[in-house]
Amino acid sequence: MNLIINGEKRDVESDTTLLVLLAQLGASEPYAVAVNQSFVPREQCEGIALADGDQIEILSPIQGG
Amino acid sequence: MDKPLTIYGQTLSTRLFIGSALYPSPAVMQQSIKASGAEVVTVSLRRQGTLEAGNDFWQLIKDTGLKVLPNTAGCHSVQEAVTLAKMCREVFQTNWIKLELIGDEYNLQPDPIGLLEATKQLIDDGFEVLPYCTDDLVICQKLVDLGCEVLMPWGAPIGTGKGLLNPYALKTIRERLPNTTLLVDAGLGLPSHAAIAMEMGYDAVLLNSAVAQAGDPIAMAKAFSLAVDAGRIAYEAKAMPEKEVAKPSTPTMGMPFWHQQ
Repeated sequence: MNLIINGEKRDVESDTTLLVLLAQLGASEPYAVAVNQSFVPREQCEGIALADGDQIEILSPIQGG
Repeated sequence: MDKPLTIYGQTLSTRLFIGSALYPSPAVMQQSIKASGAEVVTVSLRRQGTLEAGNDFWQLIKDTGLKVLPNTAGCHSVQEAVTLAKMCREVFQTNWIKLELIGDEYNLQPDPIGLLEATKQLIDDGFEVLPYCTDDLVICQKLVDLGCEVLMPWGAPIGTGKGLLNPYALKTIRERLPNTTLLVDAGLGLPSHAAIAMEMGYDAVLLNSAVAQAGDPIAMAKAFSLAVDAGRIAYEAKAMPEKEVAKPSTPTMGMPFWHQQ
C-alpha cells in the first residue's frame, strides 16, 4: 500500500502497523506521530493498522519563536 | 516588593521569555538565551529528517536547563493546531502550549475565531494555553472566559520589529483584564519597545527576532533583559501624571534677575 510519510510517498507492505512502520523508518527519539492529522499517543502506535493513502507525520523538536 | 510572575501556578523570577529560532549559530543561540536571563524558551516541532529537526537541537535546549514553551507556529486550522499541541505535549512533557493559529499569510495575524475554538478544545484536554492573539479586547475577554490565565497579544506582526503598533488597545486590555497575566508577544524590535510594554503593566514580554537578528544577539539579549527590568520597576514605581503645561522643576523662589527689567 502507498503511504504519505512526512509529505513523501512510500510503498510499504499491507497490514503494516504504525509501530512496525516507525521501526522500519528508523524514527529516532524524540518524536511524536500523527496519522491523517490526528495525534497518536506513543503507547497506541502498536494497535494502529495503517491503510492505503494514510498520511503519517513524524515530528521532532526544532527552533521556535 | 514586586509580586513574582506566575504562569499557570509556576513562579518565575524573570519577565523575559525568549525564542530559540533564527540565531546565526547554535552557540550564539545558547549564549544569547543565557544573556537574556530568560527562564522560559520557546520551541516547536517539524518533520523529522528536515535539516534542523532532531535530537542535537533538543539536547542544546535541555542543556540550558530552562522551562520550554512549545508553540504551534505555522498552523492554519484548528485541527492542525490542536494536533500539533498534542504532539508537543508528548515530546516536551509539558501542558503549556503557545497556541499560534495563523489567519493571514501576509501579516501572520492570528485567526481570532479559530483561536477560540482551538483554545476550548485544548483546555478541555488539560492544556494550559498561552494564546498568541491580536490586541482585540473582546477576543481577549473570550479567551479568559474559556479559562486562559495568560494571554499574549501581539505588539506588531511577527518578525517586523515595529514595536507596539496600538498602545491604546494594549493599555485597554491591561485595564480591562487586571487579573490576567499578560505578555506582549511578537513585533518587538528594540529594548525600548519592551520597556514600554512593561511600563504599561504587562507582566512579561516574549521575543525572538529582535535578539536573534540583531548584529550582536548576545549583547541585544542583555539589553532586552535590562529594559524589561527597568520597565517593570518603572511600572511598580508609578509614573508621574502627564501634563499639558510646563512646570519648572527648579524652584523659582529666590531666582535672581527675576522680573527686574
